[in-house]
Amino acid sequence: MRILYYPGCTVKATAIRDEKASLAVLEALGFKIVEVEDWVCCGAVYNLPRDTVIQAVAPIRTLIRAESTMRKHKTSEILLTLCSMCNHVLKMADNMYRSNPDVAYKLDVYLSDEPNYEGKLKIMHFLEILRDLVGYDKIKEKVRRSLGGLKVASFYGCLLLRPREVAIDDSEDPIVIEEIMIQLGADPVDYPYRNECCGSYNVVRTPEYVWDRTKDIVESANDYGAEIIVTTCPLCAYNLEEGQKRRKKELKGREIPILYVSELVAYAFGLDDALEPEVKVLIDRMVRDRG
Amino acid sequence: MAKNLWREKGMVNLAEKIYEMTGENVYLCYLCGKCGAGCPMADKMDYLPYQVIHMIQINDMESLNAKSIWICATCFTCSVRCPRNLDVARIMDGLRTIKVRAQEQTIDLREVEDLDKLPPIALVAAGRKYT
Repeated sequence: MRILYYPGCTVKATAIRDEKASLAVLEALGFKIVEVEDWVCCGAVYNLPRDTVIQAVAPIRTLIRAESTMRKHKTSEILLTLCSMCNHVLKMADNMYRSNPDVAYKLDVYLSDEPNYEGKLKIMHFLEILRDLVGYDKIKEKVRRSLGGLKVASFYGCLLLRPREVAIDDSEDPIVIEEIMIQLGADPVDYPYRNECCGSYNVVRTPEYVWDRTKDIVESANDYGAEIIVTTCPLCAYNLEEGQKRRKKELKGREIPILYVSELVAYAFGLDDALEPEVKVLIDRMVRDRG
Repeated sequence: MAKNLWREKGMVNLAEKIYEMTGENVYLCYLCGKCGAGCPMADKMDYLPYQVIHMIQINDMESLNAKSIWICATCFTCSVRCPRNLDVARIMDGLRTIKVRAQEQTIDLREVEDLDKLPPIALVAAGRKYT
């Protein structure tokens, strides 16, 4: 199956590990990935006032270009996103365009240099593709190397689960990452902070608040016996990792390595080329230490 | 109560302004406090989300100067939990937008520490929310 792929700014920069692992996993599962031509940044956050449409211009421009790529390369209508924030923004803009004809008209005027958006795409996050298109059973079949009961704490963050109209799973009790981890032979840890916010972009203006936040999250995961935290959001990954370094002295318990969900899946599938060498060594050591 | 500049100048009140901008009717709020109870940034805020909403209800312009509206990270925890179905995050964004549209920006990206270390996603998001 040929699917479209929208990387977004950070997946091509600090989260390149996530891209490498995710694309390798999907290719191993039989998908052909076609990157959207000339994509633009989505804006990372979706400004919520309804009296303006400017926040939707960049994401809709990307969606228009995704549609042209779809026609040119004859792919399916599925648009893959890896980053939680891109997933949120593209879905919000798509919803706004489809549900409100006035907004759609205004956006068409703004984007008169592009063809009109036809609204044919289905935007899906990496986790949604694993759950809905691949299925948990098929993931289990593909596992070459079990994670041997590794205690994995999943950190969903905010924008994958909220608001409801664009959520990939239940806002209060999500389960998709845990289910995937069970298929890989890991032991998911249920801890109270898994669907909470890490402080997000506050890291730019008031980093102290974010470090306090991430300290709470990591300590909670520690209390419940987590050995590793997995996430899909490049900003959560940065905040959690940097927060542990900044609060090293105050932090109760060990530092916990932060990985992307895709990296553990790639490891379990035996796709060593898709992993950074140090990540592979880290998971190897953790799995071996458990015996 | 703070001086009501808008009313003196014959302008609409804050609740109406918020309704116009975001489509959220703040008078639906009955101050149950659920948004404040679940807010991950609550301990850093000077006014909890329902207090900010109450200030809008009584047309207190101090709500526009609350630190809380900039500390809110738009994580939507309050929005999905509100028993009155108010999109609290959207109201907070409405207040921010009033300030931003009045050119009262709260960040200068040139003065950010760790500018070279931060992932692009953080800078883009902060740029969109604070300026």
